[in-house]
Amino acid sequence: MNLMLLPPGLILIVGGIAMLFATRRVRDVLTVLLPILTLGQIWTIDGGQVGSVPFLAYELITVYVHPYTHIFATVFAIAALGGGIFAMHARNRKEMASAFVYAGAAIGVTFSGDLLTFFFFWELMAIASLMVIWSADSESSRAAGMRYALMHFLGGVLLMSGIVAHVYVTNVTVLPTFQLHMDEWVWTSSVFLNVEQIYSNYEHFLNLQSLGIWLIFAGVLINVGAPPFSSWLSDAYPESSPTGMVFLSAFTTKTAVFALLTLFAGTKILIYIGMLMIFYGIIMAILENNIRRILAYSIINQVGFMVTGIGIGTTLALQGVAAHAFCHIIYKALLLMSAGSVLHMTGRHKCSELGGLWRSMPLTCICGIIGAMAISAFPFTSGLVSKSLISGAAAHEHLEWVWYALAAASAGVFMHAGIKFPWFVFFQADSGLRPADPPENMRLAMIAFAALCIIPGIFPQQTLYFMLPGEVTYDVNTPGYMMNQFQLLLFSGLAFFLCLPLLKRTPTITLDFDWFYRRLAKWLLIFLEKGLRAGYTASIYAVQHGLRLFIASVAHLTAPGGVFAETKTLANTTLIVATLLAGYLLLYYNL
Amino acid sequence: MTQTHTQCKQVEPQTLSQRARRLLWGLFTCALILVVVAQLVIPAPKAYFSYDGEIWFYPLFGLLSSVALVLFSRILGFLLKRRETYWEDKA
Repeated sequence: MNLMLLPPGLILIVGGIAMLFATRRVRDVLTVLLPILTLGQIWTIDGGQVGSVPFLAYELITVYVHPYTHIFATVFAIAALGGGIFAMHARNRKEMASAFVYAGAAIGVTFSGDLLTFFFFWELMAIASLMVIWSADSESSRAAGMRYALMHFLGGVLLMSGIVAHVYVTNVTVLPTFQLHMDEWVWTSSVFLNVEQIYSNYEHFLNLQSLGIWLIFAGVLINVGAPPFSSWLSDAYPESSPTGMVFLSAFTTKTAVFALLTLFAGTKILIYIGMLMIFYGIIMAILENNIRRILAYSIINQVGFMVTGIGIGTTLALQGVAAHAFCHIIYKALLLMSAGSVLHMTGRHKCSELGGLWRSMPLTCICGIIGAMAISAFPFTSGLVSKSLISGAAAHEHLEWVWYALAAASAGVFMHAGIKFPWFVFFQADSGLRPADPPENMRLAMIAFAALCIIPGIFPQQTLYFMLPGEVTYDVNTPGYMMNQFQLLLFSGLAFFLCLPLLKRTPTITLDFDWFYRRLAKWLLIFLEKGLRAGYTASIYAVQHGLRLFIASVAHLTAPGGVFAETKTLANTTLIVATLLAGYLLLYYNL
Repeated sequence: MTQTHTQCKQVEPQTLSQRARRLLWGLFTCALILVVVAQLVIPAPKAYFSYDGEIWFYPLFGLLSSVALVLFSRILGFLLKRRETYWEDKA
């Protein structure tokens, strides 16, 4: 059997499960070896369909190389390697095993060629990521994991329903490119859906096949973190361990981006959804006090850029999406490593309790700043060479308001992640804490990822763009472009320092969409339960009262002195019986 | 044995001296002036739309959009911020 026909993700999945039973030294070796082997297999597989397996009446295409498979699978393997090295000291075999299965499942999604294989790896990702959250082994992580499972299994149900509907109509399981039956006029005629026209063209928009596509679309959007189904990310991710969140940040949302890129490229509604995600992420991050929750909202913000690019749908935009996904995984992992190191060494995660750590954690500080610069798209960082492709695509398509919004968002990103995170954690008012830099493995992972944030920024063609399909001709490393970017970012920084009194850290939380199912739904259930209980009690009382009345009236009629108790003459008795018989006969023959 | 947060040292908080603050602000101001003046020397890329080719566009846009985001967040904060024990408190 040709082992190259096996899905590359299987190496991490099987190896991850083996880690549960391995000794510490073997686990450490597997942590480094498995991702490297996976990378090797990824790059030996060429384009097109490579492997398939018959299953019932269908063919499961287990290895298929889409145009963007290599770049996504590569960064997933790198994230597994970096996250694994970062987590080596933790000796949490459950977490490491779950994380590797998670990474393997994500790679499996990128190589799947049919909807059933896609769904299998998608759900395996959901289960493995849940295990990563639960591996933190705390009360809050258990509760957050349950809420996470609720949302992801909802997404899974929607996805499966859509797949079933689609396959039922078309009898085809191959991963297609969907058309959402949303004609241009629906979006250009007004900002909101033209409900009347949709209603009058009901069958055009909502037949069984399009229903299937919409359900698949909805299922993928939940995983991508689109509001209002985004709060699972900011709720569950920060409850994982300091090392767990590094893994969590890499796979679920970016696999969903891959799914949107492959299945729904050019779907215009994604531009609006992406814009919403971008600004929602920025504003919620500005309000947050928890450093890991800030970075969680930042994930939504950055994925919003990718979703916007998918909506634009041109070659340059899609290249930008894939490049941005690659770079984002690296610099977000670096930021979370920096935050995770602070949490590990101080036990604190709130901005209001930190500050002045640059004095004793210089390496963590520098790596955090590099990650912050990369996410802000500073010149000579990977963020600039990826994000600029998306805004460039918007400009080329003459999407003026989209371009201005992306520029404003870039300034906002610098505010909420580029400055805010390093400022409040490492600088601002000194907390008096003097932790040392973290253990060697954590420092090594941070240094490696910091290098990966800078090298593509300087040599994008040789280190990043070569993985993209087609040639990337958009050049951002020009003096004029970099000067404009410096202006945008430095003046955004000025705004941050001028508005610092308004950004004062407070020991509060910020409500999100999960309020609707954590509090409102709870109130409704309590209200419903009270109402049902009251109704049940009242109905029991009514029945009992009615029975008592009936018994009392019967007792009254048959008691001494009652109508039925008095002695009647024979004639009266005969008359009563005859009347009863006549009434019965009349009823019987007339009904 | 690796150090963890249970062994984190704590000292008396130190504040930055006035001189250091003035120096940092001075450096930052110089950087701001430099990036604006640089436009006189470095040719700007071709403008995409009506305003992005103007000399004031990027500095002003960066400043104003960030201020707008902060102000909007502040307003939203009055509606959304709650005490830390909100979820643990009885409904």
